[in-house]
Parts: sequence; structure tokens; C-alpha cells
Amino acid sequence: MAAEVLTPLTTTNFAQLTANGVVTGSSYALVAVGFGMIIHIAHRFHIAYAAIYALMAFLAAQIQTTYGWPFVPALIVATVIGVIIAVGSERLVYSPLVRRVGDRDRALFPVFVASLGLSTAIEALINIIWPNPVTTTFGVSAIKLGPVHMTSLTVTSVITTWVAILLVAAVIRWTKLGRMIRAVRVNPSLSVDFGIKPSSMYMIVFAIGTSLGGIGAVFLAAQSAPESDMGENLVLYAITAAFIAGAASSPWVIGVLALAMGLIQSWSTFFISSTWSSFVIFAILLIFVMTKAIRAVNWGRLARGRPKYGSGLVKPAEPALAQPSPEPSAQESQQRESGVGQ
Amino acid sequence: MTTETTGPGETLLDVSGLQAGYGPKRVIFGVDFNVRKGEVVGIIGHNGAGKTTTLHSVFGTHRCESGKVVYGGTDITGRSAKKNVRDGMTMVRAERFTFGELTVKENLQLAGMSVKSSADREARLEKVFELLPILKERLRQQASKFSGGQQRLLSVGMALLADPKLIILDEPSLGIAPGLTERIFDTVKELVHDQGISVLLVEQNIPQLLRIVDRVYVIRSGRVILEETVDQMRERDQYWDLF
Amino acid sequence: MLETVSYIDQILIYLVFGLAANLILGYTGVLQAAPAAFGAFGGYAVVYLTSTHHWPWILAVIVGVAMALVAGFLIGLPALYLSSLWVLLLTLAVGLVIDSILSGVQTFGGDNGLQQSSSLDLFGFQLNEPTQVLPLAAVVAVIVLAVCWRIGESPYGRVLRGIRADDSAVYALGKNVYTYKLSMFVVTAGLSGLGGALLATLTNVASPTEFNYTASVEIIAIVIIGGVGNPFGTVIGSAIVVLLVPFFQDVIQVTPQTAANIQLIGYGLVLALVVLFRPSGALPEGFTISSVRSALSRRLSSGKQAKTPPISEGAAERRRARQAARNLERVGDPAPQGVVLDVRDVSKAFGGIKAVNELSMQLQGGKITALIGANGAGKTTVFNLLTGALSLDGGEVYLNGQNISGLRPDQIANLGMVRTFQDVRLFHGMTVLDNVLMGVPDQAGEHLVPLFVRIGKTRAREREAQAIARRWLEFVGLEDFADVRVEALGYGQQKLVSLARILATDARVLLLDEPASGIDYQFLDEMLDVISQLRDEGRTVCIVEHNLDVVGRLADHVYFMEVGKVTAEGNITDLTSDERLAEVYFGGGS
Repeated sequence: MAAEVLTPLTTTNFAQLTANGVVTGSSYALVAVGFGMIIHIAHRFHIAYAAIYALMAFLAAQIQTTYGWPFVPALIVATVIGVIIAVGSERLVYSPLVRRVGDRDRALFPVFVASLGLSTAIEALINIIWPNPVTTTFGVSAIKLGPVHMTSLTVTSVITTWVAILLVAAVIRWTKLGRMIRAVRVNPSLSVDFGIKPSSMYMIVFAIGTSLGGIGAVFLAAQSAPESDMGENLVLYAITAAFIAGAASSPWVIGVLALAMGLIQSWSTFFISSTWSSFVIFAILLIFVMTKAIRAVNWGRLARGRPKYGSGLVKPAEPALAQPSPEPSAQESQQRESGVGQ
Repeated sequence: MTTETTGPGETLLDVSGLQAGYGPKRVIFGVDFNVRKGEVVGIIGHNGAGKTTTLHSVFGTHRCESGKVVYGGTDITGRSAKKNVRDGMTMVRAERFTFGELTVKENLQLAGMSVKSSADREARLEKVFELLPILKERLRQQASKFSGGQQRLLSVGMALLADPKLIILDEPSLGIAPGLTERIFDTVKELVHDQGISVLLVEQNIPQLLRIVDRVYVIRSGRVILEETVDQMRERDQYWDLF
Repeated sequence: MLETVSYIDQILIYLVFGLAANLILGYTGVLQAAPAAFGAFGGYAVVYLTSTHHWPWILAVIVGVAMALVAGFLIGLPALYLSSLWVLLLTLAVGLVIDSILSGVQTFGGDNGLQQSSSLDLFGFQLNEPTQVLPLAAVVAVIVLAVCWRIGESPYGRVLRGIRADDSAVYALGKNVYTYKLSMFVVTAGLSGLGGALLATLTNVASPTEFNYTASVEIIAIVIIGGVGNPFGTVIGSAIVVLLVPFFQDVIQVTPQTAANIQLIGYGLVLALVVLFRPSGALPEGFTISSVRSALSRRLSSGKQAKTPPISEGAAERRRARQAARNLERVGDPAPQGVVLDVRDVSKAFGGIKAVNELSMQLQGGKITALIGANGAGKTTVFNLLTGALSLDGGEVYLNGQNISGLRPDQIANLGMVRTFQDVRLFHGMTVLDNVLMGVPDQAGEHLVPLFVRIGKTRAREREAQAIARRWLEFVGLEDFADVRVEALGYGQQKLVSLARILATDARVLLLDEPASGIDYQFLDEMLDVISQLRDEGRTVCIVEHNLDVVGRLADHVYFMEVGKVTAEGNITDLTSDERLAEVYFGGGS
């Protein structure tokens, strides 16, 4: 294997790698926001997002080459198909699964496994349908911003990305639909009392989340021939961004984190070979979760077997009220059970 | 339990033989009661007696296993909460009754969604602000930053916004200061008086409950063991044997 | 037929992986999302050490497995303190990091992996061709199958299934859940390492693709499709997943490339469908030949086991008659006199709110004490504090004179104080008998070493444990339901099972959280009867109960709690005639 040459650290290179980082980071951001909405609002570990992402890229490329359609209609058609598949899997697979298991948290793993199955099947299907690379001939003009070389396509993709992310963030923040979505995330059983159907909101979230992915996928497909596993790493990066940001964060926070990951990856090529670029992100995820785990360990108990104070096995009731009943009453636990799937 | 025909008005809610539970656990075993128009009906009983389950089964947020719920003359057994809300039922839960991460304004906007005309909605909002001025002063505040009592007021305000014919109130005094309980109960009383709303109320604080109810049902271990008017209840010297 | 042999090898090797993953995923219910990743330690150790350093094969395997074990231990140690979602994320990240390290490090050959360059042998037997690997793979697979079967179908496996169903209930019965989870996490890692070593031996290459995310998905598919918690199901799962390729390639006659993709579509869809429509997989848990035979004979003899008749009015009399017949064959220890449990000034705050505030109370030996108070007074929190499920902020708890503050729930249970839960928390998916067996203490079969070393003792102890469990089932009148799955029982019966379960622990102090709630009144007398018999047995009982009628019928002494403190005590008549308490309980006037 040829020895890797590191990029020399110069101002020009730094500017160029920063620009590259913004471009890749933006494509991460779309997936991170889309996937993050689905995991944080609908609580579905929808790993098949990756496969649907790739499918949308292939569809758009095929539509453009075969039918000679322009970029935007191809994007729309591909995204609509992707949304149908994503909403269909929520409707026909995840939601029935959660209903059967009866509890959102216990259903986590079945949903994850079912989604893995769908993902595997869709990616293999792509390989069968498109055994050869599908390339689009896309009119691209070079753009020079100071020392930085970019193309009209990448500039457009970055702008579109952030317009889309801020649009989604604005919808979630300021519109009636956004309020309903947030209401369902915060307190699904109470939202039912005001006539909101959580299941409908989840489907809307799947649709929005998938559409964001569609934009990213179709732009990527315009830059280079899509591959069936192109979404896998992106979703894994999205998991990193979404969980570091936390469930309550706004879409743009997750987006900015994902952008930062793209920049870190790009800058890392000053110091290590580019074959390590995904390692950088996975290491961030590992360190983040491992830190959380190590902080959860009761070291005193491990060392002595008899620490000063107890175990923290029961999660303390959330102090939602000034003088709440810290005692989880029978009704409360019952409501938690009945909150799902109604 | 037979329905008395004398009273303030015709029957709004009539529940008979209601049974419900969780999985193999049966919580209520055939509960019968009714609420008339413009009437405040209280349900009391020991913790775990099935009061909350009864309310949720009526409102459509819990599955009834058998029995019948008639509301405004139509059989609504097993109907979704969404439809019940549209028909003028609202519920104030005993716990987790606000959207904590949302602002007061957003909470109120969500609650007012079932009211179609915006003029109507504005009018109702004004009325709520009049009753509960604190909500108007703190519109931009996150609901979770409110104290428990203030959140309780907000939840009552939210219930009023939806243009209710029947308000179902689950333990409004739970976890709040006595003074606030009185405020809430005064507000409810005023509403009943002004607008002819009916109220179905579960409450542990019996003296407060007796201030506003017309009739009381006592539930023990999932069954109605007693129905009394407020005057009969007041005559009792103690309530231990009801629990 | 070199290819056929190669497929059989693959089935056997993936069986090893699948069995390992089934232990942690299937039995224990810990979401290990990267079962293939630990195989890399074995695979790379074999190829690297034999090719570069010319180590003997067996030594390389031992080193690889040892590394997998150590890695499993180091990762599992903190990971198993996390909730399931985070365990899933952590193991996913571990798998990804291992994969990207393998692809990145030049010594490991990058994406192409390491090629085996020297001839392998084990004690003179060549291991270079699939036919030569076959006997080895078969022997290893059979041994691993036997080990997993032994673990799964033993008292140890019962504890694992209990952990999967409800880990805090297992803690409360005196078993250290964490140790079980960690042991299985490490065993799974080690067995995966062994599988990886075999895989690299068969393919003569150690490459990232053998141990990456996709490979992990394949192993998860084998476990789920075969049947969660059934080792023989894993055999089927492994065969299905591996044979999909030759099936399409040779039977349907498509190109190898297409066949590989069709295999992926096949098991991907099967995986989703199995999870959706047949969550128990091809062979459900507990599905063995003997279980089929007994189920058949049961069905043939009568349908009485299929349905669970409610306990009729006659049941109580029957039970009393039986008890009289046994004539106190089991004489409990005489009731200890004086204070058995001494609670001194315990406190607990949640986010600044004092749920329990310097509460003191005492349980007298052989008596029933009740804790009452308005909703939200903190009664269940007291139980959580006493049993170690919540940590104390302050104060001390003495059980028989020993300070138990700060001990884990399992330690406290083993010292003789156990509790029931308001919401019962039986182990679903298990029979009534197995649920009660979970309570029986000191079972040799619940520890890995005696399970494999002292087989005779394990068996004898299991017989004893069964006898103990059946005796307590008889005590609560449910001996006819021993082989019924708990979720088929009515709620009242489930409560009795949970009572039998804690009685089987032989603890002398019992904390019962709302024993009467949710029980039909016809059944209530039965329940109260059983509880008062516990007192006659010399047990010390504390109940939290809202139904004051029940409290009046059972309790010898009552503590009245308000806002985290005990403010009054006495018998129920004293308390209910106190005007101030009435005001606390029913609310102040206007």
C-alpha cells in the first residue's frame, strides 16, 4: 500500500480544507437533522434511513440520465418515493411493532432490528437494480473564492442545505404544526387530550426527516456516482451528532454539530491519513458514550462492595412540579403505559 | 344506581357498567354514574380505587372493556379523545398536565386548537386571562419554569380555552398550596354559574370539594359504593369509612 | 464438493457467533449491537501471529480469545451501568471504531486485511482446506452449543431471562444483576473471538468485512430468525442465513454477485417479518423436544391447563384444609421479639424537594405494620430507600441490629428483607414455577463455576429449590398453575405469585407495596388471609396500603405519614379518631 502523504498545513490549504469541510459537513447536517428528528421525536431507531437515502440518490440520478429531466423535478420525484417508503415503514412496521410490545422503550430493539432488516434488503435491492454506476452529466462551473476552489454545484448544495435546515427549524419553532410536533415529543399522552394524534405527527416527522435526506442524497449523486452504502456512514455520523446534541435540541443545533464534524474530519487530514476520517467521528461517539458510562459507574461500590450510599437503581421522579408527589402513583404508571399507541 | 329525574337539567353524561383495566389487572368493575347539565359531580375514594381510570375511560384516553358511556344523548363508548374534544369535553390530568418545554403561550395555543373561529378563540382567551391574569403576564415563560400551582392554573386555563361543555378535573389540588386550590375551585364555580358548564371532579380534599359539588359518588376498589348529595355529605362527622 | 463443505463450515462458524450473541441479546436482553466486532480479536490474532510470527495455531487462538475477553470486560464494565439505548449506542460505536482501526492500520493490511501465508495445523492435523477445518469447526460448534445450552437451560439461564424481563425485580430478590450481565458480556466477547479465529482459519484471511457492521447485522439476523433464547433455534438461523447464497446461486441459477444480493434481500426481509409477526423466531424460547412432548400430553389429557379458572370461593377453604393436613410441617423460626427493623431519620430529596424527611419508624418482630398517608406522602419512596433501590441522602437503617444503609438491593435481600412491587413485576414469558424459583436463595446452578464443575450438586440443589418453590405455591394456593406462564394469570393470582416469590427467599422481613390494590373484592379475603398467615409464620410484615378497610383488618400497628415524615402512630382506631389527621388526609377546610 502506498504511503499516505499528509496535507501540508498552509493558509491556502487550510482555507481549502475548511471549505471542503463545510461542504461535507453540510451533507452530514442534512442527514443528522433528518435522522435526529426521527429518533428524538418519533423514538424510532430508523437505521434504514441510510438505505432510503441511497435509494433516493440512485433514483434521482437515473431519472436525470434516462429521461433527461432537470435536477429539481428529479429531486422531487426521488424524494417523494423515499418519503413514501419511509412513512410506509413507520406505518406498516415500526408503529405496529411498538403497539404490540406496548412500551416505546422496550420496543427500541425490535424496531432497530426490523429497521436493520429493511436496510439490508433495500441496499441489496439497489445493487441488483443498478449493477453499474449511474453517473449524471451535470453542468458545473468552477468558482474561486479567494484561494478556495469550489464548484457552482457544491456552493448551491451548501446554500440549499442550510436554507432547508433553517426552514425546518423555523417550522418546528414557530408554526402550529411545529407546536404540535413538539407537544407530542414532550408529552404524547397530554397531546391526545387536545385532539392531536401522535401517530400522525410521527408520520409527518418521518416525511420531513426523509425529505431532508433526499436533498442531500440528490446533491451527492450529482457530484459523483452514488453507491448503495453511501448512507451508512452518514447515518452513523448523524447518530453521533443527534445524541451529543440531545433530544430537546433544535434542528439547527444538530445541524451545526454535524457541520463541525465535517470540519474536524477535513482538518484531521493535516495530521493523519484520510483513511482515518471516519475513525475520527466514531471515536468521538465512543468517547462521548464511554464518558457517560464511566460517570454512571458507582466506583466506590465496585471497589469496596459497600459504598456509603445506595445504588440509584430507581430513577428519581422528575421534579416537574414545585411540590410534586415523588411517589409514582398507580395512576401515573398506568398513564405511562396507556400513553403509547392511542 | 338509578338516575333521578329531578335536578338542575337533563343528563349530559351517563355512564353505566363501565369496566376497565390494564392487561390482566382490572381496575374498575362496573361503575355507574351520571352528570347533568350545569352540575358539578365529585368522585372520591382511596388512592388506587379507580377514579383516574374512570375519568380516562370516559374521555377516551383509556380503553373501556365493557359498559356504556352516553354523552349528550349519543353513545360515545370507545370513541377517541379527539372526537370527544371536538364535542366539548376537556380533561385536566392529575399529573404531567402541561407541555413543560413549551411556553405558556404555546400551551394555550395548543389547547385552543379545537375552536375553529379565531374571533371566538380570542374571546375565550380574554376570558381566561381575566380569570387567571398570571397567564397573561407570563406568556413567554416556559411552562416548566412555573411552580406546580401555577402550572395547575395553566392547565385549568387550557381546559377552558377549548370551549368545553364538560370539564373533567383530576385532583386539581394535588401538590399545590391551599390558597391556590381555592382559586381554582372559585374559577370552576364561576364558570359553572356563568356558562352552564358541567364538571366531573376527582378530588382528595373533601372540604374544598364540598364547596362546589352538587353530588358525590364514592368509589372503593373499583366499585361505586355510595352516591350522596352535597348536603348529605356535609352532615357526616367523618369520612374515614368511605376510604 | 469443496463448496458444500465450505458452506457447512460457515454454518458451524456462524453458529458459534450466533450462540454467543444469543447469550447476551437473547437470554440477558442486553442490546449488544456489534457481536461480530469481538471476532476480530480472534481472527486477526490467528492470521497475524501465525503468518508474521509463526506461532502455533492453538496459541494464537488462545491469545485472540483472551484479548476478546479482556476487551469485553473493559467495555462491559462501564457500559452495563447504562440504559439499554446507550448500551446499543456504545456497542455500535465500539464496533465502528474496531472496524475503522482495522481498515486504517497498515500492519493489519487496511481494507484488504491480512492474508494467511503459512500453513496451519493443530496437533499435526492440517487446517488449510475447508475439509480440514470441518472436524474442528464441528467439534467447537458442538461444544459451544452444549455450553450455551447448559447456561440457558439452567437456573443461571432462568436468572438471565428474569433480568431480561425486569432487572430491578431480580435485584430485589437478592441477585446481583450487574455481575450476571457483565459475565455474559465477557463470555459473549470470548466466544465471538473464538468464532472469529475459526472464520479466519477457514477463509485464510482476516479482513474488516468479516467483522464489520454488516457482519454484525448478519449475526443479529441469525439470532432473531432462529429464535431468541433458544440455542437450537440459532442452529436453524445460521443454516438459513448461510444457505441463502448457495440456494439462489445453484438452485435458482443466478450469478454469484446477484445471489449474494438476493441473500441480503432474503434475510433482511425475513428479519423484519420475523420481528413483526413471529417475535419468538423459528424455535421459540423453551421449545425443546421434551417441552413439545409434555405440551402435547397436557393438551391430550384435558384442556384444564389452557384456561385459568378464577379462584373460586372454595379455594380458601381447600387451602386451609391442606395446611391443616400438613400440620405445620414447616415450622418457621419463632417470631423474633422486639424491634427487627429500625429506621432512623432517613431522608431523600428529589431535585431539592424532600420526599422523605428525617423519617423514623420501627418494625416489631412477628407483627404487621402499616404505613398510611395521603397520596404523595412518600410511602413507596420509603420502601425504595429501605430496600436499597434508592440511595439514602441521610439517616440509617438497621436490620436485626446490622446497619444496612448504603447496601445494594441484592445484599439487603440476602440479609433477610425483601419487597413486593405496587405493579407486581413478575417475570413475563416465564412459568409461575420459574418465577417463584427465582426467589429461592443459594442455588448452585445460578453461578457459572458450579454449573459446569459440580454438576451433581447443581442438580440436587435444583431439585431442592423446586420443592421449596412448589411448597410456597401451595401456600398461596396456586400449585395447579405451576407450569402456566404468568401473563396468563389474573391480576390477583399474579399478586399471589409475587408473594410466593418473596416468601421463597426465606427473608424474615417482608415489605408489601399495596398488596390489595387492583384486586377484585371476592379475591381480597383470600389475599388478606394469606398475609395474616405470614404473621402466624413468624414473619415481620410492613404494608403500604390505601384501602383503610384493609389496613384495619390486617395491621397491628399503623404509622401515619405526611409530607415525608411520620407524624402519628398507633392502631387504626386511634388514628382515624384524630381530627387533625382527618384534616391532613381529607384536606383542610376553606
